[in-house]
Amino acid sequence: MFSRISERLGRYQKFFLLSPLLFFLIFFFAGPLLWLFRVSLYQSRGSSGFGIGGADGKEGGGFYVEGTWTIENYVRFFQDDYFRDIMFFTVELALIVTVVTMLVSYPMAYYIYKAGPKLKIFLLIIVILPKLSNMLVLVYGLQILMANNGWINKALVGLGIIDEPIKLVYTLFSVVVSKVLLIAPYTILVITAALHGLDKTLRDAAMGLGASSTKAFATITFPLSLPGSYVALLITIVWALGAFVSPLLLGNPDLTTLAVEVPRQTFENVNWAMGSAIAFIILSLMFVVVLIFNLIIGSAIKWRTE
Amino acid sequence: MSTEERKVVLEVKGLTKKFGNDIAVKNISFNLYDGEFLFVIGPSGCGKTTTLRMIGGYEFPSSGEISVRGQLLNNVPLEKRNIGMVFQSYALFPHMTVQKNVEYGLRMRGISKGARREKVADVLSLVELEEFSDRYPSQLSGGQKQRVALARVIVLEPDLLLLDEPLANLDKRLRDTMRVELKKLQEKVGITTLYVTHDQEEALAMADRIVVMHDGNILQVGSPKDVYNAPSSPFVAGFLGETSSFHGTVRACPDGTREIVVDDDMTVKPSPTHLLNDSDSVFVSIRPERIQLSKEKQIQEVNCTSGIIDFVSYLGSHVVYFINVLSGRALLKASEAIPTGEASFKVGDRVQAYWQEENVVCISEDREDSAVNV
Repeated sequence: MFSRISERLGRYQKFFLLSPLLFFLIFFFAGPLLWLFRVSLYQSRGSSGFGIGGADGKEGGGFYVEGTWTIENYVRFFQDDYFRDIMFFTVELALIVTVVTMLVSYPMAYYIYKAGPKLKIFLLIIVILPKLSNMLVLVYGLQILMANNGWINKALVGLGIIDEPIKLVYTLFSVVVSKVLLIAPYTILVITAALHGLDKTLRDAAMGLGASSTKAFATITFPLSLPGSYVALLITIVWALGAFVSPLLLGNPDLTTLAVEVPRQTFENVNWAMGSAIAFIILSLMFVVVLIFNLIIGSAIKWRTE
Repeated sequence: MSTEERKVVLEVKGLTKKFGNDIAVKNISFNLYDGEFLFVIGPSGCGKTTTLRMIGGYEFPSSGEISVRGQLLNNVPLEKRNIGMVFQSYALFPHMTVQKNVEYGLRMRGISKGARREKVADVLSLVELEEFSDRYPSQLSGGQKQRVALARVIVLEPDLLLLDEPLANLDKRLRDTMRVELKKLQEKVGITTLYVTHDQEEALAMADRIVVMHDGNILQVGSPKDVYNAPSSPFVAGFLGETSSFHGTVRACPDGTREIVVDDDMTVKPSPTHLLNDSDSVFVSIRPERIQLSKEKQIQEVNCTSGIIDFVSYLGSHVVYFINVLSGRALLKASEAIPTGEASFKVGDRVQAYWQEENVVCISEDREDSAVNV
């Protein structure tokens, strides 16, 4: 009897190791997330808040109408052009950022993969370095760099390439550049790891069969690196869908993303219910995008490595 | 047919490979003749794989020459050499079907689709894998992968086939089957083949000729029979097959012949064809299956010693006796075929061990491990 109890405990022993993290995730992630979902189903209070009487003159304000259950926030989101445009822009920006990030990251990752051991470490440090500084510092740095009287414009004018400064900052260009800068290190690391996981003898074998090094890359190394690169692509697109700091600091009102709209609704418009609903729509969007990509790419890859 | 009359396919001359201060391959030379199945064997780190990789073009020699059919290959890049290599890991392309894998080399050579299909079909039927052409490598067994790897290079009709421990990843049973299949296939296709392995049994079973390498040197080149029966160095004697080996000193006998004193009580008399000098140190080796045992006293005057059986190793088809020679230090190994399933002797038996002088291998220790180039 006693031994059976200890045997049972033994079976669950490994879960004890998880318990601190589980505790953390349940109380600080899953709990608030559920609460957020609940809030998104409250009725909005209109534009008033902070305890000032509601538009109907009834007493009490607050950030939502307590005790209500409604999906009107979601319905409004999809009916209102304002929100729909923000959503389309968010997806558009995410796709642009993903394409640019992949185009920047793959060659870099391949170069790191091919580099000698010393150069490899140096390059990896270069890639990780920006991640060791604060995200805001990076974005403000870009703001200064791209300003009308920033280094880039000064250099271009000084070299006689342009006559007067071009507007770089607060454009789609600056938003994309900063977003790529923030995501690329992760993308590069994931692709580099994928490339290093490849069996080098496959390339040898290809060349032994008569493939030039370019052809060996095109027919062997590149296709075999795709599953790993696909993981990098998912990380990139999910991250890009949540773009917040870059459009906030380097964008303009036309370049608003859903993530920027959440605090705007919540704090400026004091509409907690709407803010929560948008937060949930971002999550769902990420989920849907991952699902679509999985369906497309999962059906394209019929082989597996051993 | 003597090898000299045959056409030389591969000529390796003074080949050397240095990795920093380490010399992996030391100035080796050998020829490979048309249709020949040559084995390069040796323990790991002896330089055999490096040699193979240099011939294939995967490593650059530090010095020396590699020629195939008279053409110097040193500066010919890997992809331009018409040499097929089968890797130990098979290196099949996991994202391509068997068909695409076998087709790969032909595609790189720009051969038309129709011709490609035909050749691939021929080769796949040769290795009996026609039905597997649409499978991916992950859906194949070890032996099938092995055959795809072979088909992939054979389809290109290379001047030379290089095999790097191709059977090492298979289990013992399959390895034995593949040994026969591979040898038959090699004979059927008639392709000149260089096979690298550390498995001496494989080499003895399959090779036309064997090159034994040790520490970057070639120690001996010869047919399996030659290398087994007349090893040129203690290392070769010990590496290929089981043996009982001793160190001894040469002594003149009253009748003018010479014998080797191994121990107080044990002398070995080699065949007179061995040229020995008095008081030379020599290495002596006798194969276990050439040693006979008897319970009777003194079977013959020479090449006979008495001992006590210390251990019996049962191996199914035969047993190996470990015998302590009475005078003490020497240890003899003798094997006995046991068609009846019963061994003739048991541990503790006192036996006479005897052998014929032509079965005594003796090597002067002054020229131990000297490199040969053939």
